[in-house]
Amino acid sequence: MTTTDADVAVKETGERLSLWVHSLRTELDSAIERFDRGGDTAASSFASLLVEVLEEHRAALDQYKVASAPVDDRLRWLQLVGSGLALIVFYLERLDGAIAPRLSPLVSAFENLLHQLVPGNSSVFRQFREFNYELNPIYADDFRQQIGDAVERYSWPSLLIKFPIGLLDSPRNHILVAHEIGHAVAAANVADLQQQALKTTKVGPPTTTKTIDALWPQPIIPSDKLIDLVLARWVDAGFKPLDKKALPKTGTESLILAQMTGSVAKAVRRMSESWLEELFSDALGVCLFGPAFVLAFIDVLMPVSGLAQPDRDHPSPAARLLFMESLLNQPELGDMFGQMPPKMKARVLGMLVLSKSAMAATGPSPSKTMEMTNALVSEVVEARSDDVRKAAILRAGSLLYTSDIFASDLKKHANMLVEYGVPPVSTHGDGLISLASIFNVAQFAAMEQIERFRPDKDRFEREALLDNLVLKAVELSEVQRRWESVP
Amino acid sequence: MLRDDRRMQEGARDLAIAFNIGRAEEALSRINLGATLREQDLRFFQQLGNLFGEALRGVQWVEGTLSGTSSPVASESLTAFQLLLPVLEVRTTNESPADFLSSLISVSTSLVEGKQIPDDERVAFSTVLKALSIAAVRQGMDSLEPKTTPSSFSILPKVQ
Repeated sequence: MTTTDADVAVKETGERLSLWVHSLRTELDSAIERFDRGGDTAASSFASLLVEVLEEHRAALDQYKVASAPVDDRLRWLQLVGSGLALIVFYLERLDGAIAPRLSPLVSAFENLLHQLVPGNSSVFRQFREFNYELNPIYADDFRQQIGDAVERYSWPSLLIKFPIGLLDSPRNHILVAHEIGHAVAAANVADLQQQALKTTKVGPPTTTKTIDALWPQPIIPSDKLIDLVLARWVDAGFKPLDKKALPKTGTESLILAQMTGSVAKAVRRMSESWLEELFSDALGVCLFGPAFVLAFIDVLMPVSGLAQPDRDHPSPAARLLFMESLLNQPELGDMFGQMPPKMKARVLGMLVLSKSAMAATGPSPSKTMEMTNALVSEVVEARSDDVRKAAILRAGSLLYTSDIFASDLKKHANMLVEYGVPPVSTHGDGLISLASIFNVAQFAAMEQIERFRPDKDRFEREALLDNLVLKAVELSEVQRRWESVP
Repeated sequence: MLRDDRRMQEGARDLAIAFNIGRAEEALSRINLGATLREQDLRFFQQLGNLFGEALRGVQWVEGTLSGTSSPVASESLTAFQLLLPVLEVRTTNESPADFLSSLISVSTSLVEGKQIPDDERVAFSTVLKALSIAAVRQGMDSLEPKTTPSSFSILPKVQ
C-alpha cells in the first residue's frame, strides 16, 4: 500500500496527540499529589477521574493510529481524541485554585454542612473574581459515554462551589453559599435518580433498596399553551401562520414544526427546572439560616438587579423574595417575623413591599414570545411551588433554623458581640455553636446595632472588624467540631 | 469571563457522545475488514442504543404534544432528539422519525448481541454515525466557547 502525503499528515497528528496525552498525564498526576497533600479529597477524586478518561483517550488513540480506514475518517477520529483532550483541559481548569477545607475554616464549615445534607459527598471550593456565587455539578452520565461503568468507582455528583473574592468577600455575604448547597442537594438527587434509572434498565436480581423520589414531581408543560408559543415563534421565524386545529402531519413543514416544538419545549422545560431549583435553593437557604440568609440575599442582589426581571435561569428577584417570605411564614419555622428585631424586620418587609409593587407594575418584555415564555414558565413553576417549599423543609430536617433558636441566639450572644466584641462561641458544657447561629448574630449586630459596635471607628472599619470576629467564631467552632470528632 | 455552565455541560456531553461514536465507527471499520467485535467494543453500541432510545422518547413526546397531549418529559429526551435532528433531516428513507430511530436502536441492539448485520444496513448505520459525530462535535466545541452570559446555577440573574 502506498503512503500518501495525507497519510503522513495524519500520522503526525497522531504523534502530536500522543505527546499531548503524555503532557496531560504528567499534569494530572502532579495535581493529584498536590490535592492529596492538602487533604482535598473532592479535587483529588475528580482529577483521578480525569486520568481515567485520559487513559481511555490514549487507548482510542492507539487504536486509531493502526486503523485501516479512509484517511479522512482516521483524521476525524483523531480529532475526536483532540476534542476530548480539550474537554479534559476545560475540566482541569475548574480545579485551579481549589481551597482545601483544612486550610479554610469557612470552607470547612460549609463542607461540613454539605456532608450533613448530602452524606458522603464533598465539593471542590474555590474563589473567583465575579459578582456571583456558583455551583457546577458534574454527573456520572457526563462520563459514561467515555469510560462506561468505570464511573461507578466515583462519588456523584462531582461538585464545584465558587464564591467571590474582592467586593463581596465578607462572611455575611458568603451565607449565600447556602443557596449553592441547595443546588448541591438538588444535584445529588438528580444523580441518585440517574443511578436508579440505570439500575432498572439492567438485568439482575431484584434489589430491596428503597426507591428514591425526585425532590418534587416533574413539571408538566400544558400542551395547549406550548403550541401557542410554538406558533408565535413560527410566525417570528417568517413562516406563514398555521391553523392550530390543522397542524401539518407530513412533509418538510411537519419536521420543522416538530423541530421547533422540541426546541421550544426544551427551553421551557429547562427554564422551569431552573426556576424550581432556584426557588428550592433559596428555600433551603432560608430553612438553614433563617433571617440571615434573607438579609444576605437583599444585601447582595437588590443593589444590582431589576426587581421584577426574570432571566432564563432565575425567577425575578422579587418573585424569589416573595417565595422566601412564604417560607418564613411556614409554621415549621415558628413566628419568624414576630422575633425579628425592628430594623431587620423593616428591611425585609420594606423589600417585600417594593417587590410586590414591582411585580404589579411589570412592563412589557422585549418581545411577545419572551413574554409568553415567561408567563408559561411562571405557570408551570407556580403549580409546583408548594412541593418545593415542602421539599426544602423536609431536606433541612434537624438543621431547620426556627424562630425559637433565632430568639435564643440573639438573647445569648448579641449583646456580648456588640458590647464586648466577643463573637458567638460555645462555653464549657455547651454544644457546638452552629454556623446559622453565628451568622444570625452577626447580621443582627450589623443591621441593628452597628452604631454601638466599636463607636470609635467608621462604618467601613466596624463592618470589617465585625467580619473578622465572625470568621474567628467560625474558626473556633470548626476547631471544636474537628477536635470532638476525633475518637 | 462569565460562562453559561449548563450549556457547557451539554457541550461536554456532546463531545463525550462524539468520542463514543468514533470508537463505534472504528469498531465497525474492523467488521468491514472481516473481523468480529471485541468484548470491549460492545459498550460503544450499548451507549448508542441508549442515545437513540432517548431521542425516540423525545420524538414521541413532541408528536404527542402536537396532538394535544400534556405529559412530563425528561430534558435528556429533548436534548437527544435535538442532537439527532440533523440526521433525521438528511435521512434517505421515507420512514417516520420514530421508525427511523427504532431501526437505529434495532441495529445497535443487534451489534451488542453479536448478531450479523447485512452489509447495506451496516454501511447505512456507519453513515448515520458519521453525520451524528460531526454534528455532536460541532455542537460540543461551540458550547465550550466561553460566552458572555452568567452561569445557569449562579445566584445572580441577568437581564434577558
